[in-house]
Amino acid sequence: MKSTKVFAFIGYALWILNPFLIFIVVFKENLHLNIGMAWMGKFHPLLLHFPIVLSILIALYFIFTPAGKITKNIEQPVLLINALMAVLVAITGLFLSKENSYADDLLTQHQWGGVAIALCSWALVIINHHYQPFQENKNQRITIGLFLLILVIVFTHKGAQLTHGVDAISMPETTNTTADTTKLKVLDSTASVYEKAVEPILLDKCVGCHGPKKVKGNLLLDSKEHILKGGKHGSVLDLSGTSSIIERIHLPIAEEKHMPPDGKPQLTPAELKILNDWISAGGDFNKKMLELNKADSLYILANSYQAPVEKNKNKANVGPDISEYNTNYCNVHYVYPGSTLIEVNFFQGSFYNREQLKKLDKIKEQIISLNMQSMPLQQEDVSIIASFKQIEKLNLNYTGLNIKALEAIKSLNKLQSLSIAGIEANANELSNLVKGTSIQNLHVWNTQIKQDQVSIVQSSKKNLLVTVGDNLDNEIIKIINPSIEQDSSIIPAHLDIPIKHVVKGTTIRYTLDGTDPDSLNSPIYKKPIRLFNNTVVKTKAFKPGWISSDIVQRNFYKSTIHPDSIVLLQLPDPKYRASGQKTLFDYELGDKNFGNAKWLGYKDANMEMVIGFNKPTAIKEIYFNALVNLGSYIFPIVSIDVMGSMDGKNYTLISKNNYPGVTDTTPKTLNETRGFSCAIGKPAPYKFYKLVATNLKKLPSWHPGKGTPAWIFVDEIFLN
Amino acid sequence: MKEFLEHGLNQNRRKFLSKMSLGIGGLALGSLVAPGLFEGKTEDELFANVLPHFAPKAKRVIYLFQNGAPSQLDLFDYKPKLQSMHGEDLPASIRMGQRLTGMTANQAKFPLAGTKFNFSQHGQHGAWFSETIPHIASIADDLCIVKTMYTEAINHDPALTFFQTGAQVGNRPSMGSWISYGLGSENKNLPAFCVLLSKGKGNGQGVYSKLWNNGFLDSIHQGVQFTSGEEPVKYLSDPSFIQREDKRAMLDEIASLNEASYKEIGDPEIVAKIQQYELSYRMQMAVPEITSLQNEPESIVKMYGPDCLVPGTYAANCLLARKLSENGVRFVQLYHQGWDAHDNLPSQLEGQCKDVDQASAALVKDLKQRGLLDETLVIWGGEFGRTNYCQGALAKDNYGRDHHPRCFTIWMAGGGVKPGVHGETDDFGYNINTLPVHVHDFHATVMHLMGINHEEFTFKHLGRRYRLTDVAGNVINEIIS
Repeated sequence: MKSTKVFAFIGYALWILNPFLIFIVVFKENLHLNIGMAWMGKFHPLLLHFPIVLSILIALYFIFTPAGKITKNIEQPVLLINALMAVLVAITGLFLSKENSYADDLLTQHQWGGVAIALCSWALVIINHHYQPFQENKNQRITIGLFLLILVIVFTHKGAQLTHGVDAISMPETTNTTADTTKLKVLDSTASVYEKAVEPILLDKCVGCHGPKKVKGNLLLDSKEHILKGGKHGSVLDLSGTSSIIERIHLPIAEEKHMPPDGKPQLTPAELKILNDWISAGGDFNKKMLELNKADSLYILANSYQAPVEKNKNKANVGPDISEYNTNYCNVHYVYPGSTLIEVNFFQGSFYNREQLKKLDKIKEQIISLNMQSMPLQQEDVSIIASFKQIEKLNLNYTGLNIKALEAIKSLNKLQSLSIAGIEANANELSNLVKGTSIQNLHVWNTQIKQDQVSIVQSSKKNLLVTVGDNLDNEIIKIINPSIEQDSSIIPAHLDIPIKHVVKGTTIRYTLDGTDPDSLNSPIYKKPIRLFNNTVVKTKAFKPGWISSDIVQRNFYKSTIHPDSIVLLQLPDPKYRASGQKTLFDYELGDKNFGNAKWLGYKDANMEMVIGFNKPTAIKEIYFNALVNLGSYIFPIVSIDVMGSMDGKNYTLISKNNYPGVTDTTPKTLNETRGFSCAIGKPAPYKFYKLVATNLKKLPSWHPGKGTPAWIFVDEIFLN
Repeated sequence: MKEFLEHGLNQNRRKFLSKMSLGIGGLALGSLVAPGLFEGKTEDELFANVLPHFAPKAKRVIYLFQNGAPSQLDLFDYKPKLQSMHGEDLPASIRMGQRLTGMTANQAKFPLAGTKFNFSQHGQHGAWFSETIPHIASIADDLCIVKTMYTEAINHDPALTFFQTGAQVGNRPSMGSWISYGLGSENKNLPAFCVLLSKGKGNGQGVYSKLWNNGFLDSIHQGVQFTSGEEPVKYLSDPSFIQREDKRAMLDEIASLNEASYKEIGDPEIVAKIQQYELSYRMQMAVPEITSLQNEPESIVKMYGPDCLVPGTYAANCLLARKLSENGVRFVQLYHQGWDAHDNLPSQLEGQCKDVDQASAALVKDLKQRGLLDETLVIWGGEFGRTNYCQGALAKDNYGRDHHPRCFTIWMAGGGVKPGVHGETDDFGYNINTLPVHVHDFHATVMHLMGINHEEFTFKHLGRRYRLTDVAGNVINEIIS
C-alpha cells in the first residue's frame, strides 16, 4: 500500500513540476539564478542519463511488446518515474544553461527538445492512466514508442554536442604532431599577417556563424577562397565603398547590423584594429609579417596577438614537454607557452657539461637563441652548436674560445646576432668569419678589435652593425681613497688605526704630523698605527698606472676624563636631541649630516649643562666638537663659559672664551665640523663644572633667516 | 582565528563550496581542462604555465631607483622660462590650487627657481641634459626619456610604495615579486628578484623591506637583498665545520619532515620553505662564482668608476646588477638614497650625480657591448619630481625644491623600448601638456615588455583577484619599439 501512496505523490508532483517547467522556460530571460538554483543546475549532467535510458526502454517496450501483456500496475510506476526524472532533468538543465551562458542555437534546440520530452513523458502518464483504449491498441503504442525514441535520441544528442563538441561521436581524428609543430613554427617566423593574426580572429569570433556549421548571410569566413567570394551582399573586402566587415565591426553594439551580434563574444579592441588595419591595407593574404615595418601598428598588434586556442587550453596546445632538458645549470624554455621556438641559457661555467649540450640535439630544429656566456667551451662544443641550424641569436662571451675555433658557425645561416666579447679575435679573422653569413649584429667588446678597425670587419659584410664598446685601457684614472677603518675618533689610553684599500697592489702611505703624504718619503702602511695623543692622520693611496688618490684625513682626539654625571640645564630642541646628554660623551662623532641623531641642536636657548665628578677633578682643557652649516642656519658657537663648584650651588667663573664668528669672506655654503677649545688657565680640582655655550642671537642681514636666532649643534665634549 | 585556520588549510568556506558544487562530474571535467589538478598543483601554478602571454621583448629588468626624487628640472626637463622668471611668484593659473606638501603649503610666496646648471642637447632626438650628468648624456641615443610621468602620492613613502607595488598602502607584492611569480627564475641557482641598496650624501629617505615584499604571493617571491661585500648575501654561508655532504643530508631530512607536514596541514608556505632551503643551498655555490670581480678586466673598473670596487656604493651595485642580470636574475632592483633636496639643491644634486651618473651610463653601455641590452630593460627614475618653485629662501645660486607629483622624468633603455623623448610638460615644468604616463601605465608597459598582459595576470586573495595595475593602466605603445 505504501508504494501506491508514493506513486500517487509522484503523480501530484508532476502536476506542479511541469507547469513550473513551462513557467521557467517562458520567463527564462527574466530569471535570475540564486545560489541554490545554480547548484541544482550542476545535477543536470548527473540526472540526465536516467530518463534517457528509461525513455528508450519504454519506447522499445511499446514497440515490441504486444498490447495488454503487462498489467497497468507495473507500466504506470515506470512511466511515472520516467516523467519525474524527465521534468527534473529539464528544470536543472534550464538552470545550468542560465549559468554557463552558452549562446548557441544548439542550446535552443536542446532546450525545447528537453521540455518536449518532459511534457511527452507526462502526457504518456496521463494517457496511460485515463485512456483505456491506448493500452489495447498496438498501432498507437508503436507510433508513440517510435516518436518518443526519435525525440529522445535527436534532442539529447544536441546536449552531448553542447558539452563534448559538435563532433562528439564522430570518428576520432588521427593527429600528426610533427606536422603540427611545423605549422606552428611557420606561424612564428615566416607567417603571413593573415595566418598569424587575421585567421585566428576569424576562426575564434566569426566562423561560428560564417563557417561550415552555419552559413549566415551566405558568407563563409573560414578560408581565403570563401572570404574572397563574399556573401549575399557581395565582396566583404571591397574597399571601393567601405568593406562591409569594417563597417559592421565598427557599428555600435546596439545596431542590428553590428558584428559579432550582441550576445556573442565581441572583438577586443586589438582584434578590431588588426582586422581593420589588415583590410584597410588591401586585405593581402600573402603579406608576410617580416615585410611589415616593425613600428607599424599592425605589426605590433599582430605580433603580440596570440590565438585564443593557445591561450585558453593551458597545456593542450603547448608544445611537447621540454622539462627533461632543464637542469639547474641549463634553462630550456619556449619563447612563450604555445610557441614552438625554444631559447636556451647555460649558467655557471664551473658546472658546464658537454653532455647537456649534446642532449639538445633532439630539439635543435626549434632552438632560436643560445646563450653560452662564460662556459668553458672547446672546438667540439662549437661543432655541436653549429648543428643547431635555426639559431638566430648566439652569445659566446667569455667562452675562452679562439676565433679560429668558431669557423664552424659560418654554417648557421639563420644567425643574426653574435656576441663574442672577451674572446681572442682580430679584425681580419672576424672579417673572414662573417663573410657570407646572415649576421647583422656583432658584439666584439674586449677583443683585439678596436673602434677604428670596424670598417675592416664591415668590408666583408654590408649593413653589419658592430658594437665595440668602450676601450678604456689607455685611460688613466684616479684610484679610490684608502679608508681608515676606525669608527671611534677618541683616544682613551691608546687607539689602533687600521687603514685599508680595496684594490690589490695598492701602496698606502700616511703621515701623523699634519703634512701631506707623498709617494717617496712618507711611511708605507703595513700594520695598524697606534695613537696616544691628539693626532691628525693623513693617508693617500698610490698605484702604478693610476693617478694617486685624494688625501684622507681624520682627527683623533685624546679624551682622558669621563664625567660621572651629566645634567642638561637647557634641553635641546626636540627635533635634534639625539640620545640626550649621553650623546656628548659617547665617544662617537657625528658627520656633517645634522639630522643623523648624533647631534644636539639649540636655537632658542643657550646650551647649558653641569658635569659632575664623585671625586674633585682638575681639568686643563674642555673641547666642544660642533657643526657649522651656514645654509642650514647653523653658526659657530659665540662663546663658552666654564664655571667650577665644589657643592653644585656656588660657581666661580674659571674660563671665558669668545670665538670668531662668520665674516664677509666666509663662504656662505660653509658646512664643516669645528672644534671649540676652552683652556683653563689654572686648573684646580672641582666636583662640578657648569658649561654654557652661547649661540648667535640674530642672524646677519645677508642671511635668509636674518634677525632670527642661529642654531648651534654639538655632538661631543672632550675633557683632558 | 578563523582566517588563520583557513589560511593554514589553504582552504576556506567559499573555496570549499565552490569546489564541492562542481561535484564528481565537475572534478573529472576539471582535470581534463587542467591536467595536473590531481597532481597537487594549484590553480595558480597552472596559471603560471601560460606566461608569458606572448613573446617578450625584455627578459630581465634592472631598475635603478633614485630614492628621494631627483629634480627633473635640474637634470632632464629644461625650462628656460624658469630662469628668465627666476624669483617671480608661480602664477596661480599654473598651480590651479593643486595640493602641496605640508612643507611648503604655508609659504607666502612660491618663487620660481630656474636651474643653476647649464643644459645642452645630445643624441639624434635632441634630448636635453644638464651638465651634472655628462655620462648619461653620452648614451642619449639609447635612452627612452619619459618626461611626463605623474603619480598620485605627494610624500615619499606612499609614492615609493605606489611605484614598487602599484598601491600606496603597503602589503601588496612588489613589481619584482609579481615578475618572479609570473615568470620564475631563469637561473635556478639564484632568486628571481634581487635587491641592492646604496646611499648618497644628499638628504636621504628611508627604504624599507616592504618595498620588495612578496605581499600575498608565496614568500619565495620576496626580493633577496645582496650586498657587494665579502658576503654578498647575509647568512648564506655555512659555519666552517659543516661539510657540504652533511648539509645535503640535513636538508633532505628536513624536506621529508616538511613534506609530511605539508600533506597534513596543506599550508603553501611549507612548500615555499622547502624551496627556499633548496635555493639557498644552490646559492651557496653560485653566488661566490657570480659575484666575483676576478674576471672583470680593469677597463670595467674604469668604466663604472673606481667606486665600483667599494662595497655598498651605487657603482658597485650597478656592476653587481649587471652580473646578476646576465646570470638570469629576472628583476634586479637598486635603490639609491639621497635625492630629497629640500634645501641646498645645487650642491646636493652635484654630489648625487657624481655618485650615479657614471655608473648608470656604464651599466647601459656594458650591457650593450655584451649584446645583452636588447633583452634587458634598464629603468632609471625616482618616485616623483620636484617643484619649479623654491622651498624656503631663494638665493641667486641656491635653492631647494619640494615634492612634485604632477610631472617628472624617468628614462629607460634596452629591452624593447624606443629611444627618444616621450611627452612634453608646460613651460613652467609644472603640468603635463602632452602624452601623460601614469604609474599604472608604466607598470602595464613594463609588464607588456616582459610578455605579460597586465590585465590577465592576477592573483586571487581575500576573495578578489589582484593585479599589479589594480583596475587601471594602459600600455604606452608609443615607447615600445
